[in-house]
Amino acid sequence: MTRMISAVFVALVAFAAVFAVSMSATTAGLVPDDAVTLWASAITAGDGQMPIGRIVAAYPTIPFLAATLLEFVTPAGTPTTILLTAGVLALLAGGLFVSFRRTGVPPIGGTLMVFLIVLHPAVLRAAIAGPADIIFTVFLFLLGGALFDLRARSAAPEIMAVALSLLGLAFSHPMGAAIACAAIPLFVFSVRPELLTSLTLNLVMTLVFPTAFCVAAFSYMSWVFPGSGWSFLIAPAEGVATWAAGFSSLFGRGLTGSLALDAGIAVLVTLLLAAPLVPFLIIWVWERTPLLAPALVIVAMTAMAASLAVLTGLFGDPAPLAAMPPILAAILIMHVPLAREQLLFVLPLLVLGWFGGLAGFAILDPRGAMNVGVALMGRNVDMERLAAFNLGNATVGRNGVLVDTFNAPAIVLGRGRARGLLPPSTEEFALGVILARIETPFVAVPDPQIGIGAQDRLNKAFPLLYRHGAAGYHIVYDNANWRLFARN
Amino acid sequence: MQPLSVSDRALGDVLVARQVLSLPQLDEAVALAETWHVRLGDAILSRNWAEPSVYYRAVAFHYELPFVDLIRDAPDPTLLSLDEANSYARKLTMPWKYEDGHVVIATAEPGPETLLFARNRWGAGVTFVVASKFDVIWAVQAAFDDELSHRAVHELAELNPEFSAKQVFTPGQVVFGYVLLTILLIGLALSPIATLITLNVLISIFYLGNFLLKGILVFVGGARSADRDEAIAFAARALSDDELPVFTVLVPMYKEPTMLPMLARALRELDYPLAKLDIKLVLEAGDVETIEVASKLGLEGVFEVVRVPPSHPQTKPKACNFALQFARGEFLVIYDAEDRPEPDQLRKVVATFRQSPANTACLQCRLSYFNSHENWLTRMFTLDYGLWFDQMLPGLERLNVPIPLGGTSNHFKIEVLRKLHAWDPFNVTEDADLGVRLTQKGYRVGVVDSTTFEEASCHAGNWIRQRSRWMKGYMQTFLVHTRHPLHLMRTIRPLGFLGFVFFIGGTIISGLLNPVFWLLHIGWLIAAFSGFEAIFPEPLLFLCLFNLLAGNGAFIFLSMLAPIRRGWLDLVPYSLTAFGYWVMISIAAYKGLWQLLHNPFFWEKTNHGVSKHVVRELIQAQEIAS
Repeated sequence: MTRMISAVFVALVAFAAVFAVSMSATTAGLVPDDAVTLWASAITAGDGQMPIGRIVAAYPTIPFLAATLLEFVTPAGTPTTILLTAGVLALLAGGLFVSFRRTGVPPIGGTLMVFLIVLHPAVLRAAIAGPADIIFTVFLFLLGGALFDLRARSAAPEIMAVALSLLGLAFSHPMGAAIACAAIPLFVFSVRPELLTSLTLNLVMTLVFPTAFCVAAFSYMSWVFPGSGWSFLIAPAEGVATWAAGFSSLFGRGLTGSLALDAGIAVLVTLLLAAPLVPFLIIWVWERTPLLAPALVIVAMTAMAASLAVLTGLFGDPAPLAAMPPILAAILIMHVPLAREQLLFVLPLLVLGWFGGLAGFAILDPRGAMNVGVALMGRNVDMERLAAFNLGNATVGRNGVLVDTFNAPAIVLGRGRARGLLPPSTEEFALGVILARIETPFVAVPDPQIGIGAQDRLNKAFPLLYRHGAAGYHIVYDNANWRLFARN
Repeated sequence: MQPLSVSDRALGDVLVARQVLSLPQLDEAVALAETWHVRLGDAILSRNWAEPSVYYRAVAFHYELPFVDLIRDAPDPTLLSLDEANSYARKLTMPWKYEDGHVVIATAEPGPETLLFARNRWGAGVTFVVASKFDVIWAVQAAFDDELSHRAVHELAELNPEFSAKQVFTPGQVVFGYVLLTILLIGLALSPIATLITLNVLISIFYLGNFLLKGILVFVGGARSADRDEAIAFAARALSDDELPVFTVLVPMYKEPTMLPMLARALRELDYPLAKLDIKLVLEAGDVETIEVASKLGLEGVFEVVRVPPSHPQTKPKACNFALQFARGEFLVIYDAEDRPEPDQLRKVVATFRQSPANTACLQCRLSYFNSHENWLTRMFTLDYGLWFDQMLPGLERLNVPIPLGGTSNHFKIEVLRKLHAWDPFNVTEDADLGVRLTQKGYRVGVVDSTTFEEASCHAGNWIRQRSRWMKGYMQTFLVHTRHPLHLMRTIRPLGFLGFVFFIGGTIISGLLNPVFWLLHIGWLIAAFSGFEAIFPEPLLFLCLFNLLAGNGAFIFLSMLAPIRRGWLDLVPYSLTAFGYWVMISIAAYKGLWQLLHNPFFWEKTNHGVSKHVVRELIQAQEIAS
């Protein structure tokens, strides 16, 4: 009972800390575009404004459905994705505490370890990046632990745990799908040697089946319900390009001249910096294959996932993998006896890793690191998003607003709900564009001279709308980037 | 080891003097009797060295008693009492005649114990004659066939009707069914799409619940401690022969004369004192062929034939109920004719009973197939059984969910079996029913890590017949135990109730509904290409698709996990063909449903001895027997 109370306390503290950090990050504009889009989509779906076809074909599935469910049950304007992120991290913190205590770690030492891990810069980065990244982090932890259990026992429950963790990873984040691909050839090193016969392929088939089946089912659903199910194939490519630009600005041509290889090396370097405990424990268990093999598999699959992501451009940038070092440190603490017995040695290494995590953050997420620097100087990172958010705020109390929210999802966040907005998926929007006639009570457009303004569908259909308005409309709101017109 | 009694030693000398046994045989019999802690006669009968009649005549000579042939000279029926029929059969002692003012007792086990028993029951002036045990059993049957048969068929229905499947549907269930149907029809008339969506939502919850439960059972069951199984195996090996109790083995058979040699070999290979096995070959009286083969096979004296008089319904549980009345053991197990239990199974069962809580009344062993690789069907069947017995059954035990017993290798405490009126002769999966009934009555069903290998049906027709009987039986079991749902929930607790509903009910429902979803999906595909999508609104389509995909995916994955425990990884890829297996299950489900409505008590007999594996072994066993 005492242990449960302590775990709840740890979870609550973690929740409060992450909630505060996430709220500040959101205000400062540090949240990536993907997370904003996910949040806006969740609000739209929660408001019943999204066709079921788009809901079932949405990706990443798990964070989207979780956020949508939370939107459905909470009042409008609730920061659901922040609550979700903080809640998931709190569960991770509580779970870690209970696991550490179960292995014999004393309460104070366990508490310190938990906070050094869940408040590690890489994990905080994931929390800021939104529910997809944090859920990915949790599934990475589950998969890692399951791989250790698989090596120990290789019975049905262990196989289930690995298979379902892999499934969760693949459907929580595009990078999770990269890890799923990278892990396949490595599974043979994660099972007990007596199962390594000519039928190892069948065992790997069992491990991979749930993910493969769900991908096929997802594809089929996307075909049956045409929606945005495949949009992640495009967005991640843009993400990789941005990441590559940031990486190159920091490291020039890199170490090997191949960005894909350099990405893998970057993961390994990040591991050394952000979790120096890990290489030390790996060396300590070098001759104990049941402990060594799973640890090496986790490291290898993460490095390979980074290379795969950069090589193919299909899985987004490798920044979420920055969470691997502290997560692997947590897993090793649970499984390696030395880590539990030598706290005076482990804790300083975790502290060192916390500071190293800042460097690791910069290596794997250069753009994110730069944005944090901007935010710390008191400036908003994304002024365009802030302007869109403010426009959304201005639409509160006004219904029937024709606006391209797909291009600027922050509008939905600013408004707090999707009901009352007329995005491109609605009949009014489609008819307006086709007939070149605006008849809705309100219409909002961005400045065509700015980034999102050039992509705005209304600007493309009505090029003079922003500068001259529409006949029968007058301006009711104007900020740096947006104008809102109301029908006379 | 217990030294032989003086009386038995003297008997041994007589048997050698009369050349019933040779000296080496006597020495061996004495060694066995002392090791097993049985009477000398039991050891001798277990070795088939002498004809039973020759042996018993020698016994009569030794005790200076007359020998009688009870078949030619039947007991006086006025001396017999129906209430004591079971006692006659168990003690192999019964009143024979009234002579010179006192009762003459016929016994197959003369000795101090029988003397005491008879004097207590029939007075101090009794005299004795010796008869063979087979004659005593035959005489009891002949005297009370009708009554014992009535008891076997009707005891549960008369004394505990709420647990009998004799009544297929209760009035309450019929009314409930009509109400449900009426609500559905009204809904379809007033708002068809909303009704279909609601129905699909309910079915989705049921489907998901079914597979979630199975997943949890596999996860929890797989975590069963290997240490515990090893401890039981160690305890089993540590048991000395003299500590072991008498174990009744019931083998109900019907028109399976060719399986007898193989069966006898399998039972002889059990690592258990043969003299402590009370083996009953339970045969229908009309199955002349099998009875004839049994009598000519020269089986040891521990094999007894119990002839079940013809009555309706002609089912395996009825036959077992009849034979139970002659059982003499402390524990009882049912084996089928083609079964091959692991040799140490009975020892493990005894060890487990001794270490289990006092309310443990039954232990279920794992089942698998020895012809698992014969063809596609046997492989799928092996996966099916592997999932059930190797993965889910231990999970049911750990979560205290009622365990629907498998049809064979269930080991019971006989006293509890009799107290609960044994099996329901009207239920064609009497084992599943009894498992639930035991739990409802406060008893516990456990699992033993020992396997009995059976013959998997390798022909589709045979398989469907068998599976349709199982489906029908599951329907009967579900109907019986949901007559009073609140009482069921109170007795087996909410988790047990959910487990029962999803496990038994889920098996039935998924078998019946799968084709509906497949047809709906095919219908949508046709409609989509014909432009009639309006009849399939998105929410309805999504739910159907979800049920179809989630159900198939989950079942395939669970099937992949099934062979992991035994390391039969070569079977994993066959899980991908589960769809074909599901088609067969659905055919069987509908056939079972049809039979439930038209012929609920019909026992769809499975043909055994058709596998190539078995044919080879039958030839070998026959050679050994001859």
